[in-house]
Amino acid sequence: MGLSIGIDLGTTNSVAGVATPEGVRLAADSTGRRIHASVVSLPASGSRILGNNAKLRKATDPGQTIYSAKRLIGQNVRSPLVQLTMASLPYPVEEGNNQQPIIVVGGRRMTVPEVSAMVLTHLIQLCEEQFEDEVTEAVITVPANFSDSQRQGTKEAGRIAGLDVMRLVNEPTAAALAYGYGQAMDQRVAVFDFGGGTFDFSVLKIDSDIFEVLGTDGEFFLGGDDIDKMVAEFLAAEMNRSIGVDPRPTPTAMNRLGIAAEQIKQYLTSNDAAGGTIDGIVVNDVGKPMSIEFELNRSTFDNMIEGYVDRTIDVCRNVLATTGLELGDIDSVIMVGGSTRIPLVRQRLAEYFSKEPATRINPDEVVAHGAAIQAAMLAGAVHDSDRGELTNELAENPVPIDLGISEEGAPSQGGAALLLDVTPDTLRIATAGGYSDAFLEKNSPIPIERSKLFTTAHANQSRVVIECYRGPHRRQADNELLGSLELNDIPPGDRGEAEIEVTFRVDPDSILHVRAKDLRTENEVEAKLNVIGAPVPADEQGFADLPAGMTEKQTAKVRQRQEKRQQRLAKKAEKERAKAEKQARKQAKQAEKAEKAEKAENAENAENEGE
Amino acid sequence: MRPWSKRELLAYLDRVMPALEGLDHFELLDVPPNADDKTIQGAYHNMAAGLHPDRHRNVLTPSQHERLIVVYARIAEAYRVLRSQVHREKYLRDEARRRQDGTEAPRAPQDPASALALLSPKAQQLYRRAIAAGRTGDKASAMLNMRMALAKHPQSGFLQDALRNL
Ligand SMILES: Nc1ncnc2c1ncn2[C@@H]1O[C@H](COP(=O)(O)OP(=O)(O)OP(=O)(O)O)[C@@H](O)[C@H]1O
Ligand SMILES: [Mg+2]
Repeated sequence: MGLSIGIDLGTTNSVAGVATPEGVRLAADSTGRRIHASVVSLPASGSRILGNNAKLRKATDPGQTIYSAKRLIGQNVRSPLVQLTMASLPYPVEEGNNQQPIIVVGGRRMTVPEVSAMVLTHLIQLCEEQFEDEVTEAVITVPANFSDSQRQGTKEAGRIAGLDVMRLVNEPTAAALAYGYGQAMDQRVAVFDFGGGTFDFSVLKIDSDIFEVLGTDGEFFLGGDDIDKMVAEFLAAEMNRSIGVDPRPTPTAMNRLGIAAEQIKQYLTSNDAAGGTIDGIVVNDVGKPMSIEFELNRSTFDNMIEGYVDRTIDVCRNVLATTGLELGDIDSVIMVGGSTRIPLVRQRLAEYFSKEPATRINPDEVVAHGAAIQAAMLAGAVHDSDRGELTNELAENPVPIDLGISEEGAPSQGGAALLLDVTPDTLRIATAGGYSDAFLEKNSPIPIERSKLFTTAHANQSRVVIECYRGPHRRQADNELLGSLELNDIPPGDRGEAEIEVTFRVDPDSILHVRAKDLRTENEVEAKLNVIGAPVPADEQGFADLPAGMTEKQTAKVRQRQEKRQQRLAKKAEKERAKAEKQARKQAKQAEKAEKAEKAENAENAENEGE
Repeated sequence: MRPWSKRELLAYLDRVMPALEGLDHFELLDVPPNADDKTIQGAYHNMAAGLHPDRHRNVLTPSQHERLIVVYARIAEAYRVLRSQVHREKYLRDEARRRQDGTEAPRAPQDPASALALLSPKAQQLYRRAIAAGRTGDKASAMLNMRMALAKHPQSGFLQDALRNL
């Protein structure tokens, strides 16, 4: 039948698992680790090294070891923040078509989804080995504040890996699901997700089996990576001061310092001070490797990162303000992501909420747990057609959730939960004079559809361009342009005479679709926005390009998965077509009837008119 | 809260889909006009529990599922508007203005037909035909079309006034 798995595809680490009647099981690698580095190493030999083995090569083979690809997915290479990220990456990134980033390793050019697909392939392989079944479909989590193009890029990665991506679920929402699933809670919970690349904060209302997101916000370039960079800068300055060599202009040196910085940061989580020697960062004029001595204590470190922590608390404050909630309305605070281990982060969070965060959960695994539960629910959501009762496997064999240290002791029992999520940002439409109108404000429930009427700004205007933005500002230019849509052949008329109905639809993956219709001509155009920076997906029916640098066996495996996916899609399409034909015949008949009825009505009305 | 059965669901879709454009936000969410925040949230949760597309993914054909998503997306829109004091007041103001001022409902240059927008597409079309016929002096056709529009929305003050002013 195939497995439906949940995947937390993280910036630094990824976790994948499956919900079974015995509970969520996470896939482990050969060393027993359930957390897998989101790293791909492609040495010149042509082989491919993935996961935790690849992470080891960050220091030894930096030019060919790709990490933090999530920071580039669905991004416009030209955006300043991406440029900044690229400057600190030891592997080269170039501009591809549609301004998407292209990663170049050993002469091979890869799109970011291709690289992420390799990370996915590793996870899929581990799941297949351990759960002894073929993986066919998955729920993949994404940061709540991911944009359209980032979401599309992630789906594309899944497709390249041969997966049916059932749903993209927001990471904090998945975490809340894992936390509250089967607990019969009535609570408002805050999820504070501080990972390697992104920061997300969401507030949810858990009403037994309903998980409603009340509000969410976040920052995309705020995570452990940034803290590492800051510590690396500190080490570089220290080096410059003590031995007079500045490593900052040398990317490979900064890369090594970054790796040391992460270790120092983590050491400071459980120790008050770190100090020692770092070897071989740079070589001096005569080629002799130079080492540096450093000392960093907790309070200096805390001072360094305070600005980042302030920013996370600001986001919390904003979310509470926009949702109209008081601090006292929050019943529990859930911490997610490796960076919440930092003592200053915990301390500031506890102070702000006047509450100790929940410790029942494992901050590294909770998102994958939620994803696995949602995958099982989406895959198994069948119910008795007459009584409407769930015959869902989950309802009969509820997944007991045991997330590490259990407060309550006994594992909980769950049924079918439902996630009600929201849009992370206000979606806007351009209006005259460089301004924009909010079409759907931030935190609108999804899936949602709203239509509004617009008109032409000039007489005899034959064409309108509908530009869509994302962001909080009235002025167009201050927001992020999502894309545009063109409606042509508007019949001539006075200014304001045309009636153009614009519809914004946000789908369950939080991807925006826009359509525009000229009500007088019934002309209609519909588009998924063509987003700058987004990967240009291969023809849906065709095979995706295979990720570069795979062994023949690996290629065959992925190819096989892709083929099977095509077959499933084809079967589905065939079924649907047959259904549609039947439906069309039925509708044609009905339409005929209706027309007759209307004619009769017209005749009757005309008669009345005559009286 | 249990999901609806397939039979309940299909019956609901058949009933609601054709009327979708004519239903106001209160009707869609199935709440009284004076519903408070708690009632509105409760109603949304109830609706979601019963008919959320995720709960019926494998029960419906893809096209039935698509229809369900369309209806659900409109319910979500009703919830978005009614749960917010600001949106709800604006929505009620627009409705009231539509009932009182009739044809001369203010038309912002960017948003020409705020009153019209609240009618079903069919009624909007009939209304436009009526106005067009009125301009060309075809009074009979204008009256006919306007009456037919009114038949779709018998309570619409906007259309009643429009008919009177023809
Ligand atoms: N003990 C620790 N102290 C401080 N930081 C830590 C500790 N353990 C892990 N981290 C940091 O947590 C980050 C990884 O967290 P996590 O695995 O949650 O991120 P991710 O899921 O990959 O990223 P994202 O969710 O942002 O895409 C890394 O920057 C890592 O250095
Ligand atoms: Mg994460």
